Amino acid sequence: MSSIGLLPVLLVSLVLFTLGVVGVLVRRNLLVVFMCLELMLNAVNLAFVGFARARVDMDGQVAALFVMAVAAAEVAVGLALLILLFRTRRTTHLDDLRLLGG
Amino acid sequence: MDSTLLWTLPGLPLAGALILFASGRRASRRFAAGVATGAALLALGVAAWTLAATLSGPGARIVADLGPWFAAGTVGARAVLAADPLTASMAVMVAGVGSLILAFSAGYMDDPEDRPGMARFFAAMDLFLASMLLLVLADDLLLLFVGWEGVGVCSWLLIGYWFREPANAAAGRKAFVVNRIGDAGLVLALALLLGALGPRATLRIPDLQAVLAADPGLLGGGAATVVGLLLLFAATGKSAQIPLYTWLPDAMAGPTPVSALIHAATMVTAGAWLLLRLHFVLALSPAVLGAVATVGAATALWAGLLALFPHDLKRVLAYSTISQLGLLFLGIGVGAATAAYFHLLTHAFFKALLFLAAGSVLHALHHEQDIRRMGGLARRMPWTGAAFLVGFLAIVGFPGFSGFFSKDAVLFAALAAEPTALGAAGFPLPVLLWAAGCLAALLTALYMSRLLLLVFLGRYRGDREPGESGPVLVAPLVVLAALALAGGVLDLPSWIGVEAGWLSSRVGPLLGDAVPAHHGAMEAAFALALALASLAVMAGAWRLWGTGGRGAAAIKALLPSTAAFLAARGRVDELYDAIAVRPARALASALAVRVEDAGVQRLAPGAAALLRAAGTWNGRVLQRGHLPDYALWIALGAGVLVLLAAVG
Repeated sequence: MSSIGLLPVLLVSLVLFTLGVVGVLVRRNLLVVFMCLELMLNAVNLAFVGFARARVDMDGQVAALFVMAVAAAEVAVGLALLILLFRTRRTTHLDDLRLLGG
Repeated sequence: MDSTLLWTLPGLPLAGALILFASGRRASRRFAAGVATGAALLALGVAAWTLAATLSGPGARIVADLGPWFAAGTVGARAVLAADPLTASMAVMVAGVGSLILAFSAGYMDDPEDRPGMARFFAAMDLFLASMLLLVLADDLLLLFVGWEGVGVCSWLLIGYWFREPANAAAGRKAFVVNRIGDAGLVLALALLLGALGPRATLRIPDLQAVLAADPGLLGGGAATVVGLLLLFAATGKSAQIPLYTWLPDAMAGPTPVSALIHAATMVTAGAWLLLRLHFVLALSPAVLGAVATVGAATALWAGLLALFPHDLKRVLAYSTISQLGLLFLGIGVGAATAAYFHLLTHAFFKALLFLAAGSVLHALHHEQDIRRMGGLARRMPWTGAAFLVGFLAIVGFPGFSGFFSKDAVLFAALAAEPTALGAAGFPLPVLLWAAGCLAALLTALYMSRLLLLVFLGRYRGDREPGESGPVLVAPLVVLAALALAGGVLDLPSWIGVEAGWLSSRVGPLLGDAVPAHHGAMEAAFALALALASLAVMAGAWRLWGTGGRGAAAIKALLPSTAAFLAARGRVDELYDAIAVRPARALASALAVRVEDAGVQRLAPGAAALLRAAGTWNGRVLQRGHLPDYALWIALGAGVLVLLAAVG
């Protein structure tokens, strides 16, 4: 357990974060974009926890718990919006959702 | 008494004005007049109470300090009012005459077509009273300036009250602009004063007096003269003296109660008031005192000459006001500030009376202002005629009436003034100024007799059947007539047997005047000689304008070109038009053609098109409403931030 250093943890976090960013930028289904957003949050959480362990410091763990709480609230609101959006517009495809276009 | 109560003096009329401005076009004449007059009467009560409190003991002074409201560097302006016998008695006069004139207005402004304007009219009158009381009671020069500008704005609002007539609106604009020219003098004077005093700069009037008394050298090297002349210039604007008097005759375009309140009794005394409050600054420079006296004497004489010719009843009274204010300035200039203040008060009484009597006439004649179509009105309007007669006797200085005592006090002071102080500064000797003042007093008898004879005596030359005005109009006339008759008791001269007049003993010390020396028989002889000369002039006027008199024709035959010149108001308006108004217009039109049309109008559309293109690009390209685009920008921005963090 203690054999894993900080670097592998950060690498996994980086990969997950990059997957999330690319997913948000290229996918057009709002639900998938939403999931990618969660992926980015969890990548950051992983980095927090990794740093906390490497520095023998509880701050990172606290931050991770804080992010989880906020993410839970965000998911609750976000999914509710998503469902309402689908009910009114019958689509979750981002290319069809451009009411605010100039 | 609680000193903060002093703030209700400007506060009550201000509250009345706010209520009326808020009530708008729905307010009835009854409601508007009731609110306005009620506020003025309450203010009068407070003012009388304040005056009684300041008279309770020598040096009693009530100060109501609300703390600083403006600060720049080391100089702070405080919202502070102060009442002493001088300011409190002036406040009583303003609130008292104001109440009477507002009550008169309730009956005067009865044109049913005017109803939507009622709230506007009475609100502006109340706002004027609030500003004037602020100006009178302010103990700080910047606060005084607030009142100074406030009365100017109200004057503009009320001269142009019947603004649908372009001439009225133009008269209001002229009054405002000419006053603003004078105001620049006040602003410059205050700035110079602050600059010259350096670290001890203050705008509190008592502090200023103490600082200057401790070290008069602070305003050395001509600074006192420059500041004093700028103050004089400011005063010539508000008090309609040469060179800035031209707005006052035109200001008669306003309703007659406005002329009585603002352009006869109160606002036009603001300039003299400024000089009275700052008498200790003027006293630092003999040249300034000489200039004040010279301006006053010249204005008194010139306006007296101009008053002989207009056919408009109110215009004659306007020139008469200018002339009487000139006597005030003469008094201040020769160092007789108390006498000048005395004349200020009595003039407020009898000139308000004359204007309201004229208003009663105009009301009965449906706003016919031409005295050639009047005559014989004393029989048809006995109360108004009697009131006008009292005002007439007061202004010409008939023995026993208020004007007799105050005018005599001013002119005798000019005769008794120390000749060296003025002569040394290169100004005409006081005896010349005195002669001009006496001539102005005799001219007063001449032009006022002309009015009396042409309006109230002789044969009626109009085609309407005028009758006496109602009690709402007559009652204020009766009260003002009593004041004009008995106003002399404020400061009886020593030759009558009193030790020292009330003003001389209670207000005089505040104005830096010593209690006057007893001239006794000499002053009495002068007063009676002047009164007799006035009577002789009245007899002459009877021959000119009385029954069978040839009046104007006789004067024109005697001095044709001079009479034509004076009848054309000395062509002063044309002169100002040529040297100031037309060059400004030419500059404006040159700018309009060369700069505006040729330059700005061509550049502006290009600039606008550029902006629109920028907006279009921003809207079409950036704000597409496509979520992945926004996400991309956010990601790019975050990337840049990370790069910056890595580099830094």
